[in-house]
Amino acid sequence: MRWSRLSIPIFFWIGAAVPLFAQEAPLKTYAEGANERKFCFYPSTLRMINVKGDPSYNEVINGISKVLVYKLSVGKVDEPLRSVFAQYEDLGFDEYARLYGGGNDVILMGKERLGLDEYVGVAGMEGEYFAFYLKGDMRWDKIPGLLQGLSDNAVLSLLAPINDVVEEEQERRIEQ
Amino acid sequence: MKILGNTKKIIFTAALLLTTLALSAQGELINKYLDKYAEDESLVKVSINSRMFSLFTEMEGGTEEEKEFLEAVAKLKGLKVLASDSLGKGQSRSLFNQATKDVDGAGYEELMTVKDAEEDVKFSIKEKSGIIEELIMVVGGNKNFVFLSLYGEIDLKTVSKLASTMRVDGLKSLEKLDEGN
Repeated sequence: MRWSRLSIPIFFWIGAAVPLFAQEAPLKTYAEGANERKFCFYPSTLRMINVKGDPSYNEVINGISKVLVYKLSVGKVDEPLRSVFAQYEDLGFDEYARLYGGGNDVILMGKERLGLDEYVGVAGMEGEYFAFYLKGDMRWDKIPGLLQGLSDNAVLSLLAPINDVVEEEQERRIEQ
Repeated sequence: MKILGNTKKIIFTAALLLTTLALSAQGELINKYLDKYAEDESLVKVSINSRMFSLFTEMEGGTEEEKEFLEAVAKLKGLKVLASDSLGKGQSRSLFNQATKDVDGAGYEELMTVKDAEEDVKFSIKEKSGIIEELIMVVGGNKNFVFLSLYGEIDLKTVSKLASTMRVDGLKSLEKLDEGN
């Protein structure tokens, strides 16, 4: 009797929890299956990137709980990648913006629910393609300040050594 | 009592259907062009939906003018663009002529036309109850072609300011509307 009373809330909890955890899955399955280079950021690592302590940057990332960034090895948004975004549409994501043609490919989709906003996108420029998944509350009003910080190269200077390591690794693989 | 309830439901459903039809009509013409040229790599296609515009409401306007601007931008529902700046003269003119013909045929009112040696710009609008619901801009030059549709609740002054922010050169011609007044 007690078990049947408990089973109802457990059933609803599992039902609610599955979509919460599943939303990053389409991009993760696609990119990790293809061994794409991945950067994963959580609140602590996001704060670490801000080596110069830019306050605008901290305000933007304050509500973000997870960011996945993949550097893709595709030359365009092809059919398999397009199907990833079709899956997000099926999951209830809206297409916020899209730019395509003329060597450009940008897709930004989002799903906003109380306390859990999610954004997924891909951007390709000059043959370099990146995809991202972001979970958390994004402070859009602080982005202009962040862009200013980026233009001053204050925020991403920590990424330079990472890029060096990645390039060295690539050269090593080519030599092998 | 039950009959009254059913009537309310019917009126509500009809109103909902009419609203849906009105919303789907906005941007219909440019959607046809975006579909037609979806695979044409020489043309850049841009689509921005209402959520991107409503994000402006989350920004903090400093001055009174900035606040007014952000409020007006938040009323926009979408922006779609089909453009290229590397077409042959014949192709850009042919696209311009076809697009302006289709815009006129779809019942848009001509708002303003700017012609110079470099390019022709034509603005058309769809208005309902004194509110501009859609603004279409077609630009045809020697190499360039732009077909832009902006929809929602449109304030033309805001559009020219938005144009400077987003670097959409042709839309700046809307400033000439003020000069004419």
